Amino acid sequence: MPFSFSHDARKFFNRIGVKATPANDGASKTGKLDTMFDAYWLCAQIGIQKDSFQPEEGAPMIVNKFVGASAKYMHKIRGVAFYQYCKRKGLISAEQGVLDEMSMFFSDESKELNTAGYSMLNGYAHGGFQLIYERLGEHCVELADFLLDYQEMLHGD
Amino acid sequence: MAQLKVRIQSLHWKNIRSFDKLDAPGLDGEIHNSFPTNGGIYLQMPNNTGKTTTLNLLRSVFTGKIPEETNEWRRIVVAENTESMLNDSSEFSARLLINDESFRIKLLLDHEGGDHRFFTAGPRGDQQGWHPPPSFRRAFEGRRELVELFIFDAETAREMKTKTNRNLLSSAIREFGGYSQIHDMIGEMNSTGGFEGGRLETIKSELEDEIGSLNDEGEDSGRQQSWNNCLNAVRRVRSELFDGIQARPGVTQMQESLEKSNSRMVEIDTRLSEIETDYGRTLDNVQPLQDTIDNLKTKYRTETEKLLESLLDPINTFDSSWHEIRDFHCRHQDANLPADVGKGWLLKLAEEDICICGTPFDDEMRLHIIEHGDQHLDRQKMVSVSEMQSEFKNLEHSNRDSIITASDLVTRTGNHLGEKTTEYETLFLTESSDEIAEERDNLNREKFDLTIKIRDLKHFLEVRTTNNMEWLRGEGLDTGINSTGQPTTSVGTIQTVENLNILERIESNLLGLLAGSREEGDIWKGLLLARSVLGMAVTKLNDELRRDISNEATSIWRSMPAAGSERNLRLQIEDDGMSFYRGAGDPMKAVSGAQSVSACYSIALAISRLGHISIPSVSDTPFAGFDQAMVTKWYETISGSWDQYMLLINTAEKKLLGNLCHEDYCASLHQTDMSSDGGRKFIFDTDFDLFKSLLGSNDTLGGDD
Repeated sequence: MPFSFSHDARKFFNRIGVKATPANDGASKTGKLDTMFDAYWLCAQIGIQKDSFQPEEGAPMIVNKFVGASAKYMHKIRGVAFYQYCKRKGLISAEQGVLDEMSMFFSDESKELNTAGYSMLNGYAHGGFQLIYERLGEHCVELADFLLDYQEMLHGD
Repeated sequence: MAQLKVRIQSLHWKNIRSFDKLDAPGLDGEIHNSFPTNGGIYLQMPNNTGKTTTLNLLRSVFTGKIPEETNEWRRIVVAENTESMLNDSSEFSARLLINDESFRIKLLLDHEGGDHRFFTAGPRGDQQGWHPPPSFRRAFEGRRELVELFIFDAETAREMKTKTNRNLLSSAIREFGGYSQIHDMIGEMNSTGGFEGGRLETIKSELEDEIGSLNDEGEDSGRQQSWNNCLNAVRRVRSELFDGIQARPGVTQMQESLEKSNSRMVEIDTRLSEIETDYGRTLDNVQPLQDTIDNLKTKYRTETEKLLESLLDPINTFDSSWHEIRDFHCRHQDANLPADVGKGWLLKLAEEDICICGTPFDDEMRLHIIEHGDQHLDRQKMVSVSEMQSEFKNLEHSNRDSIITASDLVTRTGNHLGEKTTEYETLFLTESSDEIAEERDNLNREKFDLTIKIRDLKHFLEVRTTNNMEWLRGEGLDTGINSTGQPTTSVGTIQTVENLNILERIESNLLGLLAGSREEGDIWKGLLLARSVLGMAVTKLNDELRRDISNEATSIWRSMPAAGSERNLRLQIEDDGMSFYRGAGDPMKAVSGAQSVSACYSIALAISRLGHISIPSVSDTPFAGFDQAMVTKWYETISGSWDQYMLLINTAEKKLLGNLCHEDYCASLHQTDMSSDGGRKFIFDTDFDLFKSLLGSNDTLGGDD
C-alpha cells in the first residue's frame, strides 16, 4: 500500500500548483509545491495535530517513497508518525510490543514505509485535508494565502 | 552528420506588385550575376515596395508549398488615379547554390486559371515541379515554421514563441542531427508519443490485415471473434478521440483551439506591454514604483517558499509534543546495529590491520570480534529505524519561532505589495485616458478567461495523449488498464477509454493475442519491439538535443544586444512553444520586439550549428525597437555568426546602420519611373552613393509594408 491521496485533495492542490505534475498549471503567483507528496504531508500533519483520522478507501496512489521538499525530513516524519501510531495503540509507555510494531510500520526499503505506516498516514492525510477544505473551500489559489491559513489552523484551537 | 550548404545567388520578380520585371543582382545580357556567397547582403527597399512579399515568396521557394492566398501578389497598376491589380501571371524565382550546385526554383502564379506551379532548373536539366536535392527537400519541404526561423520578419518573430515548439525542433533535429533515415523506417511520433508511418507501418498494416481478418472458413473461435470485435471498437473510439463526436471535441479540435488561444494570448500580452510602456512606465515616478512592485513580488514569493519549508519540517510544527516524541524514541534506542548491515561491517573490520580506535589488531582481537560480534547486532532492527532513532537523539529542541517569523514576513510583504499595487493603479488611472484604462481592464479580463481556457485545454489534451500512466492512475483516468496493469479485452470498457496511449496498448495486446493464436505471433512481437526500442532511442536523443539547442540558443541570445542588456535571461524550447525566463522564476509573459527578433537569430543559429549546416539568414525590417548601440552589437554578432545573411531594410534602418555595412554588399531597389503597363518601375542598383542617399518618405524603424 503506497501513499494515497483523494481526487478532491489533488484538485485542491493542483489549483494552487504542483511542479511535479505533468501539466504544472496551477494559478498561484506566490510559488508552488514541489510534489503532491508535500501537499500530502502538510495535510497529514494537520490530521495528526488535530486528531482527524479518516480512512479513504480507493484513493489513488501518489507515490510509494518520500519525495519532494519533504524528503529531507524523512526520518523526522517517520519518527513523528510512528509515535502517533504507538499512541493510537496505547504503547507509548509500554515496555513490550513496540519492537514488533516497528516491523509492521517501517520498511527496509530506502525511503519507504510498511503497510501500517502507509495506512496510518493516509488516514491522517485524508482527515487533515477535510479540515483544510472545510476552512478554505474551493477557491484558494495562492500558496501564500494557503500557508498563512494553514499556519493559523496548525497553531489555533 | 548531415551536410547542407545553401546560398542565395539571385532573386527575380516578374509582375509582382510593384515590380514589372526585376533581377537582383542585375543581368549582364543573358548572364546571371550572383550575390556574394559569404557576408552580408543589404537590400535597401523603401516601404511599400514589397519586402514582406519577397520574404513570403522566398519562404515558398524553400518549402515547396504554394501559398493559399496569391491574389495580393498580383501586379499593381494605376489608371486615372485608381489602383487596380492585373490578372497577368506572376513569377518569382530564386537561384540557390545547394551543396555547390546551382538550382533555380521558380514559382509561377496563374491568377486567371489558378494553375500555380513550381519549376526547377538544376544540373540535371529543367523539370516541372519543386525538385531541389534530397537533403534540402528533407530539411524544408512543407516546414514553414522551420523556414520562418531563417527567413523572418518582426511579425513572425513575435509569433515564434508558440510556433517554436517541441515538434518544430524535433523535425529540425531529425534532419540536421543526421538520423532522418531511422525515421524513414519507424515513422513520425504521433500526438500520443507513439510512432506511426514509415516503412515499418506498411509491414504493420499488412500484418494487421492478416491478423485482424476473420478466418474465411469460419474456423475462428469465440475468443478470436471477441478480440476482433474489441479491435473494431478500438478503431471507432480512436477516431472519436481524435476527431471528436457531438459536443465532445477531439484532439485535433483541441489542438487548433489551443493554438488560437495561445496566439491571442501573445496578442494580449503584447498590447498590455505596449500600454504599460506607453502609458505606465513613461510617467514620472512610475518606474521606481514599478521596480518596487517587481521586487516585492519576488520577495513575496521567496518568503512564501521559506514559510513552506519551515512548515514541512516536523521539528517546527510538533513543538508542543516534541519532547515526548523524542523521549519515546530515545527510550527504544539501544546501542546495537541492524544485523543486515552490521554483520558485514564487523567481519570486514576484523580483516583490517588497525582497529577504528587506532590499536593494531592481533589474532585474539580478531577472534573476539568474529565470535562476539553478534551480541552487538539486532536481527530485527531495520536500518531506517536505526537512522530515525539516531536523528531524534540529536534533535533536542523544538519551537515554532521559524514558522512565526516566516509567516509574519509573508503577511507584511503581501500587505506592502498590495499597498504599492493600489498606488500604481491609482497613478495609472489618473494619468491615462478612460479609453486606455477600459481597454486595459477588458484585456486583463479576457486574459483571465483565456488563462483558464488554456489550462483546461492543456489538461484535456494531457488526459487524451499522455503516456504517463502513473499520473493517469492518480487522476483515476486509467480506464482500460485493469488493476494488474493488463489492457482490457472488453468492448464495454474500451468504449469508455479516454486516453489514446491506453487505446494503443489495448490494440497492441489484442493484435498480439490474435497473432499468438495464429501463425504470425513472433513476427508481430518482433516488429513492435523493434519499433519501440528504436522509437525510445530517438526520442531520448531528441530530448537531449533539444536541451542542447536551448542552452546554445540562450548563450547566443545573451551575446546579442536586446537580451544581453538584461541579466539572467534564458530561453527554453518546451512542448508547447518557447518560453523566456528571467533567472529561475516563472516564464516571462512577453519579451520586447527586439528580443523576439534576436531570439529568432539565436534559435536558427543553434539549429545550424547542430548539424554543421550553413543556411543563409534572411530578415525583413529587423531593427524594430533597436537603437544605435544595439545595432552595433547586433552587427558584430550576426556578421560573425552567419556565412551569408540577407537583410531587407528600409531607408530608416539603413540610416541606423551608419557605416557598419559599408564593407558588405549593399544595393537599392528603387523606383525610377512608371512602367508602360501603368505600374511602378523599379531598378536594382549597386551604386553605393545611391545606397547612402536614398530616402523613403514612409520609412520608419518599424517597417510597414
